[in-house]
Amino acid sequence: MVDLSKELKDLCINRIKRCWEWLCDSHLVPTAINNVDGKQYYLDPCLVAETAVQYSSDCEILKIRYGEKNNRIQSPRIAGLMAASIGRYKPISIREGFLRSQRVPLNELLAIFNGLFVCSEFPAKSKEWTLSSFLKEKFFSKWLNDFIHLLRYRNYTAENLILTYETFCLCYCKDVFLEPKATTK
Amino acid sequence: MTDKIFDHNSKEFDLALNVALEEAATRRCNPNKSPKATYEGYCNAIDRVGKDLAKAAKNALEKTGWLI
Repeated sequence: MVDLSKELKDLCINRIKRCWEWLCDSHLVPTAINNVDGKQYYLDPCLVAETAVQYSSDCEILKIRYGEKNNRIQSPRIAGLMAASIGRYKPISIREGFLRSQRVPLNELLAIFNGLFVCSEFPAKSKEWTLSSFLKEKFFSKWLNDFIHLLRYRNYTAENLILTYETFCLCYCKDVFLEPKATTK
Repeated sequence: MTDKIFDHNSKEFDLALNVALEEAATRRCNPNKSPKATYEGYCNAIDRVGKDLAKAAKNALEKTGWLI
């Protein structure tokens, strides 16, 4: 019998690692200060594993609560649960010996952008990319800043974040909600 | 009034809950994809829009003071 919990955890870990690679490639991660070689931030494997355990546990609880008896789970829910787990365990750490001289909110960026990528996983049926459209909105800067502030300084629950991504999907990724009807056995 | 709304034993509550669950199941369920396919979709999403998102994020972070 397939260990669904292990599959969920592995998928969560892979997504986090891939999003971290994107953050590094995008030069959003400060690399070094004072001409010291090597990156000052890194993805802590233990914290990533704990994030994945928390996420898969929340998934199972959510399935029971909403009566989803098969493996199907909405993308906004995945996005919100992962964002909450990342916000809780903060898997991006700073290396020993480096000072926190820059206040780049890396864990918050990881949580937010990972969620956006999860919501955009499905191939769009329309020609224009929904996520690109969202980026071009005038309110994007303020939205991102407010979201970072929420994750960094305010109290929130996983379901608050699920609602945020649901709202995003309803406005920009409506195709997510046009999937075939779930068959129940 | 409050007691009626939160009366979990009431028929109205059961009906509302069933309607909500059915709506969630029929409108919002995703296809049953394998983890590998799901991960590929995730990577494709990053490849498709990653650069645009990075540029927009940098502008947003500079504008709001997170990046100096």
